[in-house]
Amino acid sequence: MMPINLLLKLYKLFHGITIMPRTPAFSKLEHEFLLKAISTGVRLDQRDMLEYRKIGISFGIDYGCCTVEIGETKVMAQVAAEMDRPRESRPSEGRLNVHVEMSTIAFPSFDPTKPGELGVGIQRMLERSIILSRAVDLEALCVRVGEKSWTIHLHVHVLSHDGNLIDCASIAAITALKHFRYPDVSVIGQDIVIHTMEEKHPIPLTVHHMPLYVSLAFFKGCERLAIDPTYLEEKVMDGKIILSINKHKELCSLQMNGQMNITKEQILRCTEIAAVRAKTLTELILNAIKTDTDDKKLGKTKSQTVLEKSKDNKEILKSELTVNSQTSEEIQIANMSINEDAVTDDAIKNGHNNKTEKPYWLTQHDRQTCSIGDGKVNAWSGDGAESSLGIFKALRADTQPEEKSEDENEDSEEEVVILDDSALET
Amino acid sequence: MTGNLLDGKIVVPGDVFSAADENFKLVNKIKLGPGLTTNQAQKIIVCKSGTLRYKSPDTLWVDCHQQRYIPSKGENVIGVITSRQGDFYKVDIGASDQAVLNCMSFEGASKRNRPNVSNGDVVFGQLIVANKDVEPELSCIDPSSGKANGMGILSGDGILFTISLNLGRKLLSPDCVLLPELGSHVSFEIIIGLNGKVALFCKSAQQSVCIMNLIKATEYMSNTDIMKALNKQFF
Repeated sequence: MMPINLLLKLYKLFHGITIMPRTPAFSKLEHEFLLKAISTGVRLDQRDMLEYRKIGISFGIDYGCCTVEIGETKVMAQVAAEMDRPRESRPSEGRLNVHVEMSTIAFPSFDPTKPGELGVGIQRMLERSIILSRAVDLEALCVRVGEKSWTIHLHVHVLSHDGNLIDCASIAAITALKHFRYPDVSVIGQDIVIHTMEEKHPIPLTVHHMPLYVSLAFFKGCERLAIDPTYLEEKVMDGKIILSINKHKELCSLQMNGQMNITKEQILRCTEIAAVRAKTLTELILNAIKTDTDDKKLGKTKSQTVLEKSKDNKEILKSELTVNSQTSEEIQIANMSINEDAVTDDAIKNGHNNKTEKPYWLTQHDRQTCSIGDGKVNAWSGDGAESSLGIFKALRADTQPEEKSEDENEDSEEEVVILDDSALET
Repeated sequence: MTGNLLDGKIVVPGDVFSAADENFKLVNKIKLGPGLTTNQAQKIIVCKSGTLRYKSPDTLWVDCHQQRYIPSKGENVIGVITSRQGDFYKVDIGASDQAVLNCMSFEGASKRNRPNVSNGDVVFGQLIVANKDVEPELSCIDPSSGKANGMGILSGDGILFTISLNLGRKLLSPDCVLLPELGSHVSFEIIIGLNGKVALFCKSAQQSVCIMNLIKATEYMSNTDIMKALNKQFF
């Protein structure tokens, strides 16, 4: 037998010389070509700009095991339940933990020992979308207040990475949660009995709504928008908007990555696209779960993959969007709307405010400051309304006398306003 | 009896056949290609799964689907420059190790007149050193003529993509009808490295993408299937 010390030494030796796997080199040729192609509306997989890749959902033998593929991207989610104590701060609620595992099989640069920036990002986003939007009823998981409750573990395994991991992960996560069942529990006096699956039917989790992430990537100075970016597209994009939305058009989370300068209209348009997408996805998920339960009843152990045809989703998206709003060409509004802004700015400066109708919820304070809502008392700096008024006054005082130095002040002013707005909202 | 019987046979790693089999009675020595090894007992052992190929009179090898490139001397490959170390550039050619490229091994390069190369550039070159113990070395000068012969930095409105090694070899083989047939319909420039990297230069992005996807789709097609697919595409 080999002494353990020697084994450890050998292990270290081999570990020392192991070269971390590299990501494949990305050439300028590819970079330039991708951007050029996208600016003419062509994608490498010949998809439409608003077309999803083919989605497949399949299930494992056990409850709560789901694998989702979007093109070459593949994510598996597995849900497990464990009897635990509830949190001290929330004694009447169970817990839901999200764990993300990135394997080297999925992508050479992924490190299975630590999730890395991308992995942590996915974990946080899933937590935000599922837990913070209260998609799963955690109170139902409590068995005895302050003593016993179920802890649900959601393990998300990335199996293959070809861009748009978060969409894939969120579909897998929600589907797995919806598919999962945990054992029934009886409380008899002081005893808690966990029934086996044979004794009593297991209980499904209460999923109030299904928030799904939809990523939209922007290219070429935010002039071009593409849904469901691939790995290569993610490399050349300016940034992306990732929206978590459910079929009732309720926005659960919104994140913007990268360096983008996009307008309000573009964001609204993105939410519209995401809402349509979430609706069709929800139908697909429910259909997949139904097919699986039917199959399991018949005694089939191997799950069939429920596919969505990419052509269908494109047409649905197009038809619904044209009904809802303007034409689909209207995505490239970046330049146009910037000009519009300039026009409104000038109009306000010259006192012709009648030209542009302000939304009713917007209160305009002066040319560059406005607030959302009626403007409650500002609690930002402790002094209440006085201080906020003070800021506005200071701003007006700054801008009015010397018009020439306005441009320099603009940045700092806008920052102040943003802080102020958020304070007003809360 | 000849080795013809073995041609096209599906083999998996661990399959053993003897050189003394009736197949090779007429031949004294057998040349073993990729995927085959031998031991002291004069047995031929398969170490890759694929189809066994035989070439008269004495060569055997295994054809298989493979993505990882194993450098071999004299092969033309396409790589991407990743970094620079002194007089050498590191080039990613899809092998387990990065290849080195001396900045003198460009046509017309001298100590004073260095080529204008930066990270991310795509380079087409020939492997002049390919040994399992040292890193492979690339050169952009044809050793026979001392000229570039089309090798060097690739620039223009092209696309670079990766295909499997066997598809690359298939496209380059004179038997394959795809490229000549495609060339009679559209004009394009294509450079295929034996490491499975392909640089494609076309008039428009739309065309490039179409041709790229067509090439990728022909992975498992026979010549007749390719003709059918092309006819569908163009007529």
